[in-house]
Amino acid sequence: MLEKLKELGVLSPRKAEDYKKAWYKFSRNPLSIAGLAIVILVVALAILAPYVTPYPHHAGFFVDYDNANQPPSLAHPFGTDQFGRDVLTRIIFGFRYSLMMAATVLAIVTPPGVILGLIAGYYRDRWPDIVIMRVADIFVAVPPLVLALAICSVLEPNIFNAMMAVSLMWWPWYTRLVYGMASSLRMEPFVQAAEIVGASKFHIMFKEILPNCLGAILTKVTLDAAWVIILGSALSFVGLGAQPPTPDLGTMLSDGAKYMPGIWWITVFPAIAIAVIVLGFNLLGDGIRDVFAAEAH
Amino acid sequence: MSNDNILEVINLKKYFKVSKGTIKAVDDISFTVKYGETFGLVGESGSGKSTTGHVIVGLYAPTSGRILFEGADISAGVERRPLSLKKKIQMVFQDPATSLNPKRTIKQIIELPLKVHDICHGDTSQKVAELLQMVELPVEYMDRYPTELGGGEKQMVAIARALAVNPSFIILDEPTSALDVSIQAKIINMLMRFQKEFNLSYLFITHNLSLMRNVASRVAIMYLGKIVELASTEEFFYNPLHPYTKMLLSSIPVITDEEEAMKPKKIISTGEIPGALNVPPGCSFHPRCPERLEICDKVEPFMLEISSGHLVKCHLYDFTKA
Amino acid sequence: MNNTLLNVKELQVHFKVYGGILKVLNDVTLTVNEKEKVGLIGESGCGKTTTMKAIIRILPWNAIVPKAKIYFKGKDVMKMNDSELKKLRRSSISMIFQDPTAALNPVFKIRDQIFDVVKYANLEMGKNLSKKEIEEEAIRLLREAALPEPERILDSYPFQLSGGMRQRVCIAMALASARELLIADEPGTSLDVTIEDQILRLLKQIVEERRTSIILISHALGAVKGFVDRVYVMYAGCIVESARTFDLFHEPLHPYTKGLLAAVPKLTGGGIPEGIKGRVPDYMNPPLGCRFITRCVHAMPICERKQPRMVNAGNNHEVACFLYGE
Repeated sequence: MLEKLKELGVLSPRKAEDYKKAWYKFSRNPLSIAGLAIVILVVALAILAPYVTPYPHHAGFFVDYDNANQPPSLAHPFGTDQFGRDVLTRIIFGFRYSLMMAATVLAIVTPPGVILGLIAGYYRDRWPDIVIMRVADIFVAVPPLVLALAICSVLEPNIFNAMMAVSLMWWPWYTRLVYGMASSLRMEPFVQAAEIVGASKFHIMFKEILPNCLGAILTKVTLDAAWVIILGSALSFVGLGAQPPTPDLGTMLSDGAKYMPGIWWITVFPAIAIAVIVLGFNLLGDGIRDVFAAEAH
Repeated sequence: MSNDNILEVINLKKYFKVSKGTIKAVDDISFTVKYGETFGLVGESGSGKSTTGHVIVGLYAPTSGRILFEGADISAGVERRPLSLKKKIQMVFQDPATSLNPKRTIKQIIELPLKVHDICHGDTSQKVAELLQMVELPVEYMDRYPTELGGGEKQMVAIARALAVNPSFIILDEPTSALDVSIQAKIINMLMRFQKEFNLSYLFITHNLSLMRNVASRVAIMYLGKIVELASTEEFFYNPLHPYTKMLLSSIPVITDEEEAMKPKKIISTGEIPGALNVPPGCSFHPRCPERLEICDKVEPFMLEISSGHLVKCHLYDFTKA
Repeated sequence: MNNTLLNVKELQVHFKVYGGILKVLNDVTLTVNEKEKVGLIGESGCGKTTTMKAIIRILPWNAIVPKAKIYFKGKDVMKMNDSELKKLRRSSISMIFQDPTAALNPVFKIRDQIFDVVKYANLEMGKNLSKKEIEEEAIRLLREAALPEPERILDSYPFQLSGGMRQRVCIAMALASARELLIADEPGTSLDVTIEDQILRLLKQIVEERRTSIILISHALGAVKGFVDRVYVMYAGCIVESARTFDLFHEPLHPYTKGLLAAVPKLTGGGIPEGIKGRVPDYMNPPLGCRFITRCVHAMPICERKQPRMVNAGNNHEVACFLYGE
């Protein structure tokens, strides 16, 4: 595929070579490929949910008591829930919410977290460092779930507030990651060389230091996607995130828990789904880390 | 005041505060660099030679003392220096693997100074190509990343970057010590050629005395933050006075018999350089000195001019006390 | 007298990397006799360290060894099983690395690190030492490495010691298990000149007293000259020249050796001659013939087609170059 793109002129030979090399490093570990496959599969299912699910109309508010609590069968591979809705359908739609939550939170959190970390790292031991990092410490000190629970219980419990709550406690981790890297890269001769030449602070932070942090940031984003999904599901599970009838995996878990162990499929399949998606992102994250890891001789 | 000095360093001190005390990295040193010359600064690790270079180029502000460049005081740190001054003083670092950003292409690296100082007014490709040709690298290297180049080639890129702004003074901080001997020769010869061609003055920092012998016109040797001997190169190598200079000369591995004959015979290397936090009192070299006198651990010697331009900081030569 | 201790024949080592296979070592052949001090000179990346790693079989996972004959005291190292290899490394051959800081574990005291080495080295010899005996032996070794106050050193962490002292500790540890061969891989390169000089003098004195063989690997020609009996010169994975030290430095034969010796700045001055032009060949596609051809001023048509074999140019001075012999 890379060759095709190269011929079409979309990709410079230079970039094509870079991607080829990255793929070589990534694909050395079969688990990374498994992770990538899982994530691609989940994302594709989520996007195409209305077309690939057997009962798309079961995703929202739908009741069919005649078919309630059916065990797994050919018609309903994962069974049906207490309202007679197809569990498989709802899991696939549930991926949408999980992924949306992860994408939104990380999109909100990463840019400010990274920029604050860059600034604090550049001004190491001076006032911007002290102010930013102490504020970050305060946020880190509050247990994440507690803060999220507090916010969601004070405000209206819904998926939007849940995401805001999670974002509020997530950014300091990016600040800390980038701070650590930036404050040591700051002393690297290539940064000193740029300073001697007279380059601006903006150039040094964003053109010299940031590109060297991207690999670690991307790795963290991937691994964090799994964490955000777990946390979002946890919030929904205790009733502070997505509300019924939204087909959220966490909500499904809490709904189904009432019927355990007799009608196990309502709970077990969403739980497995969460586990698979989390595993996928973790494996993918490890693979991305391999790509950016320094070539060991 | 003589006008033939491009750089004058007067009583320069650079102290670093650390949790366990103060590190006197550079402790009251003075020297001058003349227009068009290569001034050598020799020392082992912890001698403060690199810190001296970093202070002059402005990466650190000095603790005290003055640095005069072309007669003007430039003691402020890099942030407060005017852009026009940054154009005149450049630096080449020891390890090109760390002094070139691995995430930027050769073109981006070399064009940075051109853009900052607005040298090309727009398109920089032409000038970058010229600079690459000047350091004898193929123009195709423009789109490559530093990791794809050999060690010597990377250092050529670093030199091209330093030359891009037409500086008048370059600090060479161990420019070849990370490279192989067969490549070192090429880089040094290129640097010497550019010096003549562009009328450059060099401050050449190295631990390699054999190399220094062949490049510098005058040499100063540092030990634990202080200059202990300063002389013209000939004088320094054929009439070394300070016991530390002699110890260093006797330690150099050499390959020919003529060189072997030059090495001071009576002195052999003993002891180690103490940590920067426990600098011995009096003359800081006295614990390792084979010729030490009673006075050496009590009183710090003064810098004495033994003959014209040959300075040494050692009680052995202080005849007023003897 | 002239008993061969180590015999390496036609050693090839390749590395599997992105984009293909690096053919690094190309038929490396070398011998070390008992009580002999041998030097291995070459520039960075020429395969000096890889050769040594191949000898004690500690190559990284992506290394391929298509061809190798390695005999230590007549025994085939390539055919040794794990316990034989362990015995070899614990009681016969030991290695000193370039960077003593990386060679010592920063979180353990010197005591813990040297005790293990002493204990297992003696166990392989069939001696089970008591704690007290181990301590006595460790102190004796540290003293042999010219470390003052060995008792205090034992209770120090590596970071509390200077670079020179750390390297002496590494030497002491190597001595515990190096009964027959010591491999010193650039032992002074990361240290200051005055300290390097001390370390090399110490090593020389120790191997002469103990009558151990040593392979001194270095890119610093001068350091090797004052130390060893015989020198091998390596270029791009090939041994290109071997001779007694005096002969090599006074009458180098291979164009690479000549260029290398000329490129070293001399204390006597006289400027620096041009170095060796060009760059080391790509290990993925090395030249078919002589690997030095890309940089050689004497390159001939035959050099392109054939790989030069080592020929004797008299006086046990061997050189792999078509300018000589045949």
